[in-house]
Amino acid sequence: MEELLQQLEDYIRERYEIDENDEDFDADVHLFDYGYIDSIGATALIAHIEKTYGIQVTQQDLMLHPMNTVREIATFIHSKIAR
Amino acid sequence: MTNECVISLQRLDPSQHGQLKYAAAFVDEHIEDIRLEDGAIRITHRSPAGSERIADRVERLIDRFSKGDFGFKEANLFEHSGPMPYRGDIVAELVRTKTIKMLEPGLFIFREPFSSLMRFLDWSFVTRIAKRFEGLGEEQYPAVIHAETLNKTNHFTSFPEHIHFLTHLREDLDVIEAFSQSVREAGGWKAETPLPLDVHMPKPRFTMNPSTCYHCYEGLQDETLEGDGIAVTAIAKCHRFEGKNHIDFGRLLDFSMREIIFVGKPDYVKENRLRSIEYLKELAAEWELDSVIELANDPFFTNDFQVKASFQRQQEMKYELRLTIPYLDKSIACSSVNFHSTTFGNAFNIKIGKRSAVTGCVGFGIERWAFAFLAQFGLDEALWPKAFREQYREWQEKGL
Repeated sequence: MEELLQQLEDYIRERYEIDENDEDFDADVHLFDYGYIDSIGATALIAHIEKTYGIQVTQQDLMLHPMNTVREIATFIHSKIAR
Repeated sequence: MTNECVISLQRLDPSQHGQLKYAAAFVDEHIEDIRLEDGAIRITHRSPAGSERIADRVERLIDRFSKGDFGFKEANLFEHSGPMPYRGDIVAELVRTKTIKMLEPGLFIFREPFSSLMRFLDWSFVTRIAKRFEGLGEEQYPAVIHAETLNKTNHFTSFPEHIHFLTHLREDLDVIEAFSQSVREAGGWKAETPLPLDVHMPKPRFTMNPSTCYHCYEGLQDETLEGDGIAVTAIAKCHRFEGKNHIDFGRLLDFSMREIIFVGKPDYVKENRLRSIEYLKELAAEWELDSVIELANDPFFTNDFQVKASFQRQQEMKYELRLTIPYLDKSIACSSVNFHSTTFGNAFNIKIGKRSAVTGCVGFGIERWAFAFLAQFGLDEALWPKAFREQYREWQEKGL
C-alpha cells in the first residue's frame, strides 16, 4: 500500500506539474478543491489508473468511494486489486 | 410550411430530457415549438433545410447529454413543504392587473407591488444572508463586460449560445450618416430591413454581463489576498439569450442577480458556502416556501458537457434552491450555491499566499424569487406567510 501511495503521488506530482516546494501538496490534500486537478485532468487520471493497474473504474465506484486525495485513490486501487 | 420532426429519446436518461429540450431551441432558428411527449421530442419548425437536418443535430445533442463520465450524482440537501395557498396562473394575473408588462417573452416591465417585492427580496438577501459574513465588501458593477474578460472565464466555450454581443456604428461619418438616412427613408427602424453588420459595425469589444461575479474576479486580477479570503456582495443586471426558452416561466432575457462571492483559501470558501446553504434553508423555512435544495450542474453548451457536468455533480460544486410553481406543477431554480475551485483564481491570477485563490458564490435571481413567491402566495397579502408579511411591512414603513 505504501509503495502504491508513493507511486501515485509521484505520478500526480509529475503529470499535473506540481511544484516540489508546494507546501500544501501531500497524500491527504483534496486534489480538486485545491485545483491540482480539474474535470479534464480527472478523466485522464482515471484512464491512467485503469491502464496502469489493470482495473476498471465504474461510475458506481465513483459514487461509492471517495477519491479526492492521493490516499483515497490509492486505497481504492488497493481494494480493487485485492478483489 | 410548418413541419414536425419527432426524435425518440429512448437512448437518453429521463433526467436529461429537460436539458435536451432546452438545448434543442438552439438547433435551428426556424424552430417554432418544442415538446416532450411519449418518450420523444417533437419539434415544429419552418426550416428550409428540412426535418432531417434538425433530427441530425438533435441526435448530436443526445450524444452530448448521454451518460456522464463521472455519473450523474443526485442529492437533496433540504426539502420544505409550504402551504402554497395560491394555485392560479400568476403570470396571467400579473399581466391582467398590469403589475407586469410583457414586452416579449423573457422581457418585462415590473410595476408595484412586484417592483417593491424585488427590492424587499434583495434587501433581505443582503441583510439576512450577505451581512452575516465578516468583513463583507459591497461593490457596484457595469452592465457590460469586456469580451476579453469573458474569454478568461471560458464563457465563450462553455455557454456560447447565451451571449448578447454589444456593438455600435463605426466611428465613421459616412457610415453614421448612411445608416441614419436609410432608417429615415424606410420610415423608421424596420426589423426586416437588412443591416450589413460588417460594414456598419466593428467586432464587439463588449458583451452584456451574463453573470455578476465575473466582474469581482476581474477586479481582483493580479492581486494577492491576505488572510483566509474575502467576501463581496453586488447586484448587477445580467443578460442571457435563451432563444425559444424565454417562453418558459422565469426564464428572463434581462434580470437582476444578487451575488455573494467568496475568494480565498479552499477551507474559507467551502465553509462560507456551507454557511450560505444554512442561511438559505432558514429563509426558505421562515417564509414557508415550498422548496428544495438539490445538486445541479451548469447547462454547458459544449461537446465536453458530459465530462464537465458530471464532474461538477461528482464534486458537488453546484447546488440550486428550487421553488415550486404550483400552477405549472414544476419548480424553478431561484438561487444557486457554487464552488469553482481555482478556475477563476487561475484565469485572473488571483493569489492567496503562494497559491491560486479558489472562489465560490451564492446567486439570487431576484425576478425569479418574486415570480415564484407570488406563484405560491398570490398578490393578496392576506395569504402571504405571517413572517414574510411582517418583514415586508416593516421594510415599507421604515422606507428601507
